[in-house]
Amino acid sequence: MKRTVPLVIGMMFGLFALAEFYVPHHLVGDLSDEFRSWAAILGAAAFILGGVNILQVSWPKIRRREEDWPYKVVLLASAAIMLLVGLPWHKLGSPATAPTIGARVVDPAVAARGHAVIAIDVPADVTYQVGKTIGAGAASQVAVEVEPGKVAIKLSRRLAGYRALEGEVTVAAGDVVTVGGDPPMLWGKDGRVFVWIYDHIFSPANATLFALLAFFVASAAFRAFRARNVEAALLLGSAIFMMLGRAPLGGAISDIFPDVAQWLLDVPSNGGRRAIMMGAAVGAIATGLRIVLGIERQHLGSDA
Amino acid sequence: MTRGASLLGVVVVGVVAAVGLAQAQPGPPGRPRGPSAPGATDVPGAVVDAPAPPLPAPAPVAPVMPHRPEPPRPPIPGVTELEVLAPRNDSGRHLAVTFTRGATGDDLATVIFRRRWGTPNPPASYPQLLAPATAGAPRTWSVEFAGAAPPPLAKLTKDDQLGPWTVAAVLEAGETTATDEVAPDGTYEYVVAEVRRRPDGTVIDASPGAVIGPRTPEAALINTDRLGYLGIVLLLAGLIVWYIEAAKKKKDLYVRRLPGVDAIEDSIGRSTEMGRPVLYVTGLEEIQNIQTIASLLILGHVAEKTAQYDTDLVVANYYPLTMVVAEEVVRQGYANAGRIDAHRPERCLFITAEQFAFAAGVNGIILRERPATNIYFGAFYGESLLLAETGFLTGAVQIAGTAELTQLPFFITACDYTLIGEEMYAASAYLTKEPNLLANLKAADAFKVVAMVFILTGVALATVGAFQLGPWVFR
Repeated sequence: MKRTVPLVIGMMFGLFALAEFYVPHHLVGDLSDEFRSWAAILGAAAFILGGVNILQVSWPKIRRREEDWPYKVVLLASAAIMLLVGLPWHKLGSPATAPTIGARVVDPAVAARGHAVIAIDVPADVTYQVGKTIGAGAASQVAVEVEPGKVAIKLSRRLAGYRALEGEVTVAAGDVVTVGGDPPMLWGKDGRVFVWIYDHIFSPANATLFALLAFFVASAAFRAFRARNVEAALLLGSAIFMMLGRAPLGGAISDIFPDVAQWLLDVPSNGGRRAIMMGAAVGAIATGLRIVLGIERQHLGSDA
Repeated sequence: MTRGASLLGVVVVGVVAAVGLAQAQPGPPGRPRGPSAPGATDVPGAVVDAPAPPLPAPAPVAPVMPHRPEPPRPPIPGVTELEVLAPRNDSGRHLAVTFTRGATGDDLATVIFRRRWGTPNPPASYPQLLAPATAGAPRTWSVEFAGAAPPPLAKLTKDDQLGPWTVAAVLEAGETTATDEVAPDGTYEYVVAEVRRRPDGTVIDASPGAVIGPRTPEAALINTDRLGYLGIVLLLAGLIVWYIEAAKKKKDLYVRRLPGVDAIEDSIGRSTEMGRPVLYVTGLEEIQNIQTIASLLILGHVAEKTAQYDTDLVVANYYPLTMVVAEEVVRQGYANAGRIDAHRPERCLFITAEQFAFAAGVNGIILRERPATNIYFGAFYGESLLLAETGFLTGAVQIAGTAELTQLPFFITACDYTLIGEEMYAASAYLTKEPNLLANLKAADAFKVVAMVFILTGVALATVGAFQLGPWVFR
């Protein structure tokens, strides 16, 4: 029973997934979307288990002061910080969503021109959009002359992690209306702190590790290109042609190098790649059928 | 020294983060302020509650032009040869509209309207999109088309509503086909008309509408374009069944040696002798990826062997769901070996779901715990060489397997054994030696022979120009 039930469930869902590819009927598609939603929920729930796993593995090492335990402290502290700043705390309050509309006075000079004026009062780092006029906050109020009627207003910051304030004000000819506001900082995954940590700590560290790859490639290539036998010598020769063919120096020496490099890519390399791809595809289908048809049961253990 | 340096590092990172964050905060509201934007005017010391101070001359605004009636234009001819069909192999959610345009021009577009068939109180005669022109006044939507209170003329976009009609598509640049997504349980009628627009998109004139309906979308039960692929799966399934039957009669099916798989047990033995753990990495794809599934199947065998040899097994996972399944697979492997008591769930690790952070984490394990065997099975990307080279530097025996073509050269260079593509899928069956699973491998090999014959036949036929076999099978 312990083995049969998972096997039957696996077969049912596996055969359904297979059938979905061949049956375009919308009922099958709807059911498939439902199953995908289940899978997404399971995947999201598993992240909680992942967090618990990290805690289970790291905490005992810190408690026992095992080797390199400070790294575990950094790991847990970083995870906790990201969790805290990743929560949308701003939803607990009621931050502004629209600009504040201030005093409204009538200016005869403006009225004579048949227009209205929106006076913008925002911090220097706030960008405003009044109708089609875009500008940035200044040392004092900024006046924008507009046509009478409804005028759309948007206040935002260039930096990510702030909510834009959007609103509308209706003005008559001669009106001078003051509009102000300070776009509030957001929390959560799109919030200022989260984005700042991601951009200023995680991304550079990520890029550094990626950049190290160049040195690893050089080290691996040095080993791979030692001509110890005929195959290795062929590899070395191909590599030399490839490098010269792809570098400007090769083309400057002779047109042969780029041509040979392209031929190596188009013919032998492409042929080999296709053979591996086709073999892998057949292997993948066979593995899939093995599981769907219940032939592969080793991972399910025994019914005992 | 190391601990001191790490703590110092934490402090430095914290200080840098705090300083940077402080710099990222906006200044106090309203102060300080920078220069004014172009096109805008500063008002020094303005007091908003007082009567409006004299403002410097603001940027001029374009004068409002009085309405002028559109000059008379020739009538627009309507579309012809209108057809609405249910597409082939459809899910039952689409109707394809095709027509021939009546006129072309930069200011002309074709608008397709749709409504449910049988809408109550249909007008006596329709569809005139626009009411007849009146001298000196802009045209309006016809009451017959848009209902008793037609909305003002405006720019039309997809999904706009005009009375009972929905804009299914607005075709620009001379397009003459559109596939409309509809609810599968409905019957629909369509009106297609050419419209003339101002540069801002407002409709100013329209051709007579061409009407067609009712049309119902059709849901297909089988996608005939994919029958070739279904044939492949059925052929392979048939070969598997045939070889399983053959395996029941002939017990010893020959399968060629896979040195990389044979080396797994040897390397676990080496780890046991050295008293160091075995590291197993399940790749960087999610649990539903076939490479991850193949990797987890092999993990079961590796866990069984490590349990038999009483060697520590560390499993590094990229996704938590993979971690959960891997833990269960390892538990089962230990149970199969009769050593469930030796299973340590905390050695099945979720590292992180970020590519290079994962590489850093696994490299940390390799450098700190110095596993004697590193096994990388699954889907790998740019981090493959980072992992394999670090493992090489520690002197571990390394066995890798992946179907990612771009990573195979890196693994071949840095690892002792590499399973290429299909070999990784075959490894699990190869390790069990069960006749049913070996029959699966034989079936895959037989299928490859069939595929080779098919390819050679196709190449020969195409070379002599007789027949294109590929497009005939795979549409």
